[in-house]
Amino acid sequence: MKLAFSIAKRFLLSGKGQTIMIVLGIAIGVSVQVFIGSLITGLQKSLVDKTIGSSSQVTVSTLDSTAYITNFQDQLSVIQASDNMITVASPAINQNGALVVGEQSEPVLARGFDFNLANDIYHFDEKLVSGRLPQSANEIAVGSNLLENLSLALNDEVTFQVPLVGDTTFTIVGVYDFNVKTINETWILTTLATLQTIKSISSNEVSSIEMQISDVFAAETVALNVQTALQNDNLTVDNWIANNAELLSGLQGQSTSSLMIQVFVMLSVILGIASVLAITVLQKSKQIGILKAMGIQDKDASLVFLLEGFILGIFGAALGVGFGLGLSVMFTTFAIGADGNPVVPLFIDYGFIGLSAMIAVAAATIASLIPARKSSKLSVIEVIRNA
Amino acid sequence: MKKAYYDTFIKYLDQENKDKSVEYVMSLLKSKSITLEECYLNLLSASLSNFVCKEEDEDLCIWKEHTRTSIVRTILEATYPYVIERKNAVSDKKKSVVVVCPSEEYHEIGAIIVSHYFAMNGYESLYIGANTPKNDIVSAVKVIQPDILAISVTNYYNLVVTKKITQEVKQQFPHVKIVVGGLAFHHPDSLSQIVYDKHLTSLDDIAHIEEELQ
Amino acid sequence: MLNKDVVVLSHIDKIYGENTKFPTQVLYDINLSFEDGSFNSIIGQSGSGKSTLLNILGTLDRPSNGSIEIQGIDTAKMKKNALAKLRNETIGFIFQFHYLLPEFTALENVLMPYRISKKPITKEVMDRANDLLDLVGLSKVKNNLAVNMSGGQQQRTAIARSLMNNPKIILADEPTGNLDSDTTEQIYELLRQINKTYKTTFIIITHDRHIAEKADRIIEIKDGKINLDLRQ
Ligand code: B12
Ligand SMILES: Nc1ncnc2c1ncn2[C@@H]1O[C@H](COP(=O)(O)OP(=O)(O)O)[C@@H](O)[C@H]1O
Ligand SMILES: [Mg+2]
Repeated sequence: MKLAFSIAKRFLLSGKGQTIMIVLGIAIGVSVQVFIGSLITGLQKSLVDKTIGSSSQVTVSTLDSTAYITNFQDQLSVIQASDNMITVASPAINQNGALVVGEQSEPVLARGFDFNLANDIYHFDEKLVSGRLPQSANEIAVGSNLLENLSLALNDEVTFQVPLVGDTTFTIVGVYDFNVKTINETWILTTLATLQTIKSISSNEVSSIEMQISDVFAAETVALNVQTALQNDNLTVDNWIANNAELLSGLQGQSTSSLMIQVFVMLSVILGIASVLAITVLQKSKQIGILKAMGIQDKDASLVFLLEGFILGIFGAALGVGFGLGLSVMFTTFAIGADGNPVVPLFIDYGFIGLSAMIAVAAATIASLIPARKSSKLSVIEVIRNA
Repeated sequence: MKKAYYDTFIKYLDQENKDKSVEYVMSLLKSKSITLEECYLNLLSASLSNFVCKEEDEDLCIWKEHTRTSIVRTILEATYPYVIERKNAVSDKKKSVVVVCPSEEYHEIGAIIVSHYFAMNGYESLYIGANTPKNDIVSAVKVIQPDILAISVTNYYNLVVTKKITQEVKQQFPHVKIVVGGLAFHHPDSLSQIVYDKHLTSLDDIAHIEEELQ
Repeated sequence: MLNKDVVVLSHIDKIYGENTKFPTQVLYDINLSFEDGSFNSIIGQSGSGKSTLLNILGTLDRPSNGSIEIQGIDTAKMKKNALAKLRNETIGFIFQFHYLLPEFTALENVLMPYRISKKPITKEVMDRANDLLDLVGLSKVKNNLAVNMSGGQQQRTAIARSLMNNPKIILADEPTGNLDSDTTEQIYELLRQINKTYKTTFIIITHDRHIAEKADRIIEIKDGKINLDLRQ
């Protein structure tokens, strides 16, 4: 091993130009791999984030839409304990109605939250444009579009009309902007207690419990676990996947195409290394002939090339990871949108990068199997004759 | 032959004294103190073959050896009138012989002595030289048509070309008898690999060679 | 077989392309043995089969028929790895084109046969390598890369390398083939000196009569057969 290694090292050092070319070849392959990988994962993450990042991913509600979840505090703890992927579980109450200002009236959905919990799902604090979040009874926050449509202003008082229930006067304490028009036009945010009073339900009753989870693609299993833990036939557990089949298949398509790209990049790297190393065996056949005449064992002769592949792989992979990361940093620093954020946010996954590097090293080593075999088969006589 | 003759001769040779050496041997011959055979074998041959290089003056060896060879050669040539005398004294004229050294063979003293011996025994003897290429030997045999071809080889590497020469001569002129001699045939295995008719170790045998070749 | 023989070839035939339409026989029923410590030369016209014979002698090639015994061991039954080990331990090669490893220095080239044996490189071993380079007069250039040396220096390095594992036999295929006559003489003297000091058996193919005529034995190969086998 030591012998083969030192010969391999010398062979590589003696053909510096060629060695650098091979290392660069592998490095470019690996950097493309790293960059594309980071880009696609980044794209997926941001897409997922945009679509379901600020919404409930798993939701518990009652089968009967007129019923409520009772003892929600207890249920919350049961849910939290059911699956450790659940990052937040937050109670919510919904009430349809209309917001009336003088002659004008707009249909709205009043949403009651425990803002401390719900903030982890909806990130209200970031979305607040002015004022504050509701704290006490009958305080609300409205969307920027609704504010405009009804020509309202902060601290204005408005009437919330619920047919068959009656009118309530709300004070606008905050204005939010979700960047989504339908939400901005229809949602009014308030406390759980405000809606419990309007609905005349007890303070331990809510309409639903909303959740976010650490791995969004595990929503289905989490939902199942929650369902099992609740042991309540009246409750149903929904998840975002069931409702967003299109998004999911889009994401999967992207994953597959990214995998394809990476496979082909690696394949071309392997073919490249194999053919270049095959040429090196030809170039070094004289040396191998001499070594064999001096009595080197065939397995050591092939080990020389296997190690060459391995060393090239290591350096190529290291350089490639460097390139890939550099490229990614450049991309996120220079390709930025008007808001100062990168056009496409990259996701640097060190596990993935490590895996790419390892695959490259393995590929380079495997690619050198062919020349290694060739070297082992080489007959001294042929070499000495064709001097 | 008196041992003193040899000692005196060597003394002159050791001094690189050409004049004294030549005069001494020629006077011994003239006074019939030694025979021609004794001159060739016991003086000339012996002086060369016994030449030893003393360890301490190895640098001197080469030129000393060359000088000695040159003196010996001069004496050898100078004895030729005695050879003619002996040749004419032989009553029944014998056959003809060509004596030669193959290409790259520069040791010729032995060959010259052999050619003289043949003449002394009544042969029409012709020495055609040291370092003679194969084709020249073959063409000499073709033109002269001798009864015997005598080849002298000292350096054993020259047996390689000697084998070619004897093969070719035997093939083209089967009636020509080939006689070989010299230091190169020292090893017994060497002879068996070469085509020849007679290998001589003693020059006295030249006197009876005709009968032996029958 | 005499005990004194290090290599014995019996009834060696070599046919190239045996299983093709045009097989060519290059060696015919060669029987040869070499005495321990002897200095032998092989001569013959180009194409006569000298190199083929030497390669078979050195177990680099296998004969079509016949057997080679090296130090009393029949090599016919040996596997590739065993042969490699045998070469490493018992045989030193010197080729016409030096065949140094150009990526390594003179010293590293000399050490290579030892490193191939995978024994640890001790101070004694380093000393031996240095001594050998000294012997061939290359102490000054021992750290030069092989490519940065003259032809004669490369050949002397190759000679030092062939001696590294203290082999019983040294096989040389036209070792002075492309060297000038002064260098040729030096190399010859070196080989002869080694032969005398270490009692190493030498088998040398040469076109140079000055080398051949000084050997203890001259073997002439002609058309794949032994034409002459001469001893002093
Ligand atoms: C003189 C000499 C030389 C001279 C030769 C000059 C000349 N014009 O001949 C020079 C300086 C050129 C020389 C060069 C070399 N030499 Co010189 N040389 C010798 C030396 C000292 C004497 C050889 C000699 O002439 N002997 C006298 C003759 C008469 O003896 P002879 O050749 O053996 O012949 C006798 C018999 O063998 C026989 N005989 C010979 N031929 C024949 C043929 C027939 C048909 C017959 C019947 C009989 C026969 O008859 C002769 C009389 O008894 C020997 C040392 C020694 N111990 O022999 C080394 C020696 C022969 N050389 C040797 C070497 C290595 C070399 C070189 C390679 C050295 C170098 N480093 O460059 C070169 C090679 C050159 C070449 N390519 O041929 C080695 C040979 C080893 C080997 N077995 O191959 C020797 C043995 C020295 C050693 N101990 O290392 N050398
Ligand atoms: N792998 C092979 N297939 C077919 N023929 C081969 C092979 N290797 C070598 N040869 C042939 O074998 C013969 C001998 O080659 P070689 O041993 O290299 O000769 P030498 O070393 O003597 O020059 C040559 O003709 C060559 O073309
Ligand atoms: Mg060859």
